[in-house]
Amino acid sequence: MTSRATPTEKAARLLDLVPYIYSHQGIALADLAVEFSITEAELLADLNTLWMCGESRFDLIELEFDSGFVYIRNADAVNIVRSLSVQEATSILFGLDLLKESIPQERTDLLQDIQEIKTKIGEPFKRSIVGEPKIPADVLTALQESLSKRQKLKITYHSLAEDLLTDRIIHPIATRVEDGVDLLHAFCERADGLRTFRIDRIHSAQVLDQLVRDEAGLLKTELQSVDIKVHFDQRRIFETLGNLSPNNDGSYAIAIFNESWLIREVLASAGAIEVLRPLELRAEIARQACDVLSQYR
Amino acid sequence: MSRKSERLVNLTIALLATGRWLTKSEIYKNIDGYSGEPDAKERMFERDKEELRNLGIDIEVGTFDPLFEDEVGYRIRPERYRIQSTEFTSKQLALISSATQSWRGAILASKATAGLAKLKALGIESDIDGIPINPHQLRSSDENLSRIIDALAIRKTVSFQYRAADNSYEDRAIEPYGVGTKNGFWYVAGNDLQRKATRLFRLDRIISEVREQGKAASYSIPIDFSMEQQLAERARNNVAHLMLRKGKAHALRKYSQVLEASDDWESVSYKYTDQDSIIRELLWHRDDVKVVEPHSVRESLNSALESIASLHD
Repeated sequence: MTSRATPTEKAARLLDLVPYIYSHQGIALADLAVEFSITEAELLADLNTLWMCGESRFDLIELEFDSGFVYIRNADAVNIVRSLSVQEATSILFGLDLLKESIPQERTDLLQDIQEIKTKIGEPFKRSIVGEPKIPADVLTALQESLSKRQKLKITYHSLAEDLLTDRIIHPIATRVEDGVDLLHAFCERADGLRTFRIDRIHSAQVLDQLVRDEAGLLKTELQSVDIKVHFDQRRIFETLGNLSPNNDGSYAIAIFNESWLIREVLASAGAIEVLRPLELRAEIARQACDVLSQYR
Repeated sequence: MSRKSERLVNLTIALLATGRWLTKSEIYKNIDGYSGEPDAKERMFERDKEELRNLGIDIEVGTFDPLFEDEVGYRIRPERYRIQSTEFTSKQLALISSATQSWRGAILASKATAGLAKLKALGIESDIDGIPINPHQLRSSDENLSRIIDALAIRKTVSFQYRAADNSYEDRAIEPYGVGTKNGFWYVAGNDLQRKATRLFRLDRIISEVREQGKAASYSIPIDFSMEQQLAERARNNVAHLMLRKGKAHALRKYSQVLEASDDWESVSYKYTDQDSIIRELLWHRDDVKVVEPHSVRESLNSALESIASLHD
């Protein structure tokens, strides 16, 4: 990201380096690079440029960094911490909103501190910025721990397709984001196969003291191809169904591994989605619609 | 490349260090890098000023003598350049540090760390004892997010192409009022110039690059605007009387109150937003739910089912 820094962004960083080095005289090059999220080579280029700056060409900033430790002198005019840019303040405010959600309610001291920081740096933007986490912090923490330690995870999962809350023991493999939805690939002991879970439907998670199975990644899932036609509500349907590939006749092909999920989506679309092929699935949808109707007859 | 950043830094130093107004000719004479014909120097200086202002550096323009306005001067007041709040405790700095973790790898990560480095330059030591790490992640690799935040900061109108409900593309122009996340999606709210009303847009539905247009400070954000309100769940002000099969229809139970239970069914009152949404919610649950009232919901549910059946006949 920093390699694409424009001359203006670089100038901003040079200006910010000055007060930082002043308050951390003798800081190691490597540590300074980390603080500014740049490589040591980029930092050296920065310092070499800064060295050529000053109030006039006879009165340059004095920098010393040959030893691997950085010292600065004669830059009093810019030894001032600049006000936060909107981007900087905004990114910190979003982060604070999320951090707040992972702090236990009883830590009122920390919650109060966050409120205070937000007021100090955020007053001008307070009404314009809202960040919210979509997944409970304890689920995320357990998931990250299970992935890094390669240990099994016990979850309570709300399966929408089956409309059931179930306890499952899973072997997490990887997480992935698709259309803004966080997904977890895992081997599921209950299903005895690979499954994809929506992380926001995991109600609770607990790391087990057992390692995941190695062959978990070897199992395959059969995909079925279904042709559908979309009659209205196109944006909603495309966003819900995800990966649709267009056919020549204006219909779309979708690859699914769970028929009952697609049936529910077709019903819920209230006529926007029509299943063309396979014919058995088409007939099944007509049958289910009549079944539900018969409740009212 | 480093020539230009060098010139910008030197210009900032000169304008900060001066106790009086600096004229253009003084600036050209004393700062390396302003070269060429007078016109070229002029253009270079105008651009530099604009770029420093975009960084949030306030360059003041003034005259030496109110009677002779032809000779203008420039300067930066240190008190306007300096960060306003400096009183952060060690614990607060550690919290900010933890907060910036949520941007790991995302588009605003470098901004968050730059902000943190500034605060650390105030000389506060961060005290990380007992500070929780931030497990949440904000994800947006979308360059449009930072473009919109830039525009919002200087209150400039933006335009973009937006995917409409029928999946066609529309040109929209808005005055951005706020940004936020909900259910993992990024949203921007603003005054839609064609529709003359506040509208909410989902960032992943913006299919073009977001472009700034017009001048800065071209509008003001209404005093009663709140992004939180814009992103709030739609109110469920309507009530339906439903029968839910026991142990089923979990997604509906969040908004249901059980009135009566028998062996297989529960009679509940269910809160919903509008007719279209309740129809979709009920259809998803197939024969695990029956509508008792209102009559209108029952009717449209039935006609939706009839059309599904005939569509697949």
